Amino acid sequence: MTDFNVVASLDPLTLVEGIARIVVVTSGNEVRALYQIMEFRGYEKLAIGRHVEDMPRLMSTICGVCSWSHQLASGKAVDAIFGRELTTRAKLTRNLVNYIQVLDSHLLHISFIGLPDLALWGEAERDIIKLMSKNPEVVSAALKTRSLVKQLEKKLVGKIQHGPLVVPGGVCKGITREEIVEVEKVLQEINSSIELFYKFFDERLVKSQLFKELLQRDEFTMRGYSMGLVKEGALELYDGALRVVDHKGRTVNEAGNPVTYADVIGEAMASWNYGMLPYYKPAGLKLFSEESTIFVGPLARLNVAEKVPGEKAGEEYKRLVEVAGGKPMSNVVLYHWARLVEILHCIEMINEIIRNPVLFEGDVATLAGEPRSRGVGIVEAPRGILVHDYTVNSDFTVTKARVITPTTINNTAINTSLSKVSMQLAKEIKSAGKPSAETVTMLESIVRAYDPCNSCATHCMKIGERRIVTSFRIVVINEKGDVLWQG
Amino acid sequence: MSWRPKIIAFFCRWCAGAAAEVAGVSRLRYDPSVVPIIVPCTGRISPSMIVEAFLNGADGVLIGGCHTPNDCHYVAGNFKAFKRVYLLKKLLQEVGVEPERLRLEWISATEAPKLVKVVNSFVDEIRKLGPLGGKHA
Amino acid sequence: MLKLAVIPGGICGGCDVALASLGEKLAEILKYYEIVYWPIAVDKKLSNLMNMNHIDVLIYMGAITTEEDAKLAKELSAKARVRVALGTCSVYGGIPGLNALYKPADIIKTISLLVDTKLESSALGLPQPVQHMAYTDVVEPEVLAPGCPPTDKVLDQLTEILLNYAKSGKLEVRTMLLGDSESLCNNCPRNPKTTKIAMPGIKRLYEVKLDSNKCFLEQGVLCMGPATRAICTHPCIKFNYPCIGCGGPVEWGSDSGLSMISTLASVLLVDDEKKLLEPGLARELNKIRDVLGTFYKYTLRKSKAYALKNKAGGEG
Repeated sequence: MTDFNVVASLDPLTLVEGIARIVVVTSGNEVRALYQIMEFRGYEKLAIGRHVEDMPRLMSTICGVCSWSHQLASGKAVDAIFGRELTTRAKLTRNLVNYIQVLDSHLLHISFIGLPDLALWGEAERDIIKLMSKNPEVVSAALKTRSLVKQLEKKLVGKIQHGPLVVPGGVCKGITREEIVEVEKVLQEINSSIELFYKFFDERLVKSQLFKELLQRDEFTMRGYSMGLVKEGALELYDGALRVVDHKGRTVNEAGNPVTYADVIGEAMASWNYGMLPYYKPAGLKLFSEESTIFVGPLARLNVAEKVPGEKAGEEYKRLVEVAGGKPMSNVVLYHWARLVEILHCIEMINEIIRNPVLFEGDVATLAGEPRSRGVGIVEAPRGILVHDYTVNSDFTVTKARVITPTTINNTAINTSLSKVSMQLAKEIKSAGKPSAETVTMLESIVRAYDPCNSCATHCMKIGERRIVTSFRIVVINEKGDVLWQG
Repeated sequence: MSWRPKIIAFFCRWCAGAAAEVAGVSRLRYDPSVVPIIVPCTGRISPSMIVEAFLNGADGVLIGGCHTPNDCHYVAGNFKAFKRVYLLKKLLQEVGVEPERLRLEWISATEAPKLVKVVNSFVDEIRKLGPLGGKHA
Repeated sequence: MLKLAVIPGGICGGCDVALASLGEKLAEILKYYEIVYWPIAVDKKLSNLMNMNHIDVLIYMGAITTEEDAKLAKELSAKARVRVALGTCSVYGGIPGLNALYKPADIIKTISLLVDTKLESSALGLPQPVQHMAYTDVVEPEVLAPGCPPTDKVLDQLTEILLNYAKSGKLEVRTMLLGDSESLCNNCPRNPKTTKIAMPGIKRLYEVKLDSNKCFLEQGVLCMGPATRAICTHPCIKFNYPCIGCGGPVEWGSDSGLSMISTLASVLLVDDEKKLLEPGLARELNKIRDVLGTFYKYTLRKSKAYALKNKAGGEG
């Protein structure tokens, strides 16, 4: 190994078995915890040679949980290639689906990972089953809200995952006033079921002693670069300029042209990880160091934005920033709260869009535009900045494709965060040969705060009377990959 | 010299098939590597029949049909064959099979000498290309 | 209680979500079955499963993308009395199955050309990738449940099979491909009034404004409906998007790409053939720049075209 010295490895994440794990590797006196993405799929390769207009559907299958985000980012890249400017109706329709996507995913995370993780802190099992036994009302509210959001999706688009929506320059079908009547009913239910959920979060977590303590813990701090989209300075999930803010709150990059993402995001490929390790390019690659680490997702978005549209969301945002002690917020525990702010934001935005008469009027797609050979599409997926970048030849078949997912960007951030626990791990492994329960909790919580997409794929809804668990298993391996110890 | 190509020929009974008969009674010789299969119309030849032929050991597939535009006994079966073969050649290219291994020719019942010429030149071509997959079966 | 194991291979998570969303139907299944493994749903260890002598029903989701996937799929399936391939990746290889054209090293190479820096080290136990396979390439399942993700229709049929099996201990047929044995086209809500479909040319999706009522083929837009098994109630077509074939071929063992090529030839410019002649028809067919991606979005790995590729490459 040349990029770091490591030998022991910590265990694989139970619910993401085969997809990702935490490995603790030691070499001599050095110990390092790594987050290892073990999934290998290669969509950048299968894209080559394909008709570029097929990309949105093909690429949406990268993820079964945030498939709309992939379709939308891909769609924006395809629009750019054909030089097409969306009609207001098409833009509203895509935005609507995007808000539903983010809402859906955040609800999943908060119910299955966020709430159990925080509310059951210090207990051996921190999963939704356990939470159900202690606080059935909040779990029910969370699950109900989630299933209502799924209904929204089904009513609007017909298919919950990998469905049709994007065509070059628009959407394949507009939403009608008749369809929205049903949607409004569901939204009302969501509004009321979210209340309880929100109250629990506020009273039991935000105001708790534990929360205050965690905010002080150094292991949870992330002083890297926050990256996200903004529109006129405000939080934006679909369209906007790519802004990067450093740990002192200074805007170090703001670019309206998505093609310039490559000046900001560098990518390293390591032989111990199937996920790439992106970094803030102007800073150069400094592995495991906050000096070149970018983080994305709800917390980063609220760092780069100056305001959050929506009355309730805006107020909650101010409260969050106040409790956090100002911006940029640098404690990853706040990801959970940021997610809640965005849940409120999404609901308010959905309400606004369905009241906009233009959603029902005008063309859903345009054929006008001047084509070019490359197109980049960036959206805010639930977990953060998602980039699709295609190059085509004169017959509009793909010659080069690049996809950077938020989990990939946070892969570096997670690894940087985990490395803060290295000293502690070294001590424990030296004396006991394995990490302590407390340290394991810490490692798990760090990973969970970022909500990597492999965990998004791992948390689901209720199964009859059984509920989903989200616990990690921990494995120690040597540098050949042999398992030395398993939690 | 030991390798002899295996070639499946689908001949329409109204034209190339009849020409093959005429070639036979006229004692015109053509290469015995070709196994002719007589079909009612080239429009009847499905893409999977052609691909199956390759999968089951054929090194080349030859199709003989009626001249366009007006010779097809069923009005336009030959055009259907043309479109299928055209797309299949593209498919062969994409999966790494030389498109030349598939050939479509229009040969009327009166063109026995043309049939012989086509068959022999196709066999020559396949000989040059060698066995499908590069291995001698 | 019968033992039910749900094993994920290379997945996107969509099948998990579809299965978990079964709700009441799943509750009914759980009256007869105990879930002995399903990583997203229950916290049970794989080692326990490996130690079991038998599993009654095994559901495999996703494709085989690593050596570990293949090994696990084979070992566990050997213990199972009923094997179910769930989802198009499991049955046909799915969209990621387009990568079956390449060796893993080629894929890694393509990706490595996109990055700025390469860091060499030990692989630290990363599983070895294999050339993309469907579950059905390593095991012969009793039940094939296609769909991306599996549709309500397919999941209803699966539920019924599982319940019947729990009650009778038998399967009705040796190999069951779920969905209805007809093409999606048969019950299409926009079936053209005429019996003859004439495709006026080939229009790629970027050059056409989609009509929301007319048969896609009659608009010149390629729709896989005629060559795709009826596993759904046309959600895509109803949302004004042509079928892209996630249901796979109409019958097990047939080839949807070749069927569609055949259909396309039958309907494309049928009234103008004698006017356009071969060069005119060729010009139109040349608009398809990507045959495999057009006709085999989901099923390449199990197709005859893929078998031919292997044969040509000397691997068959």
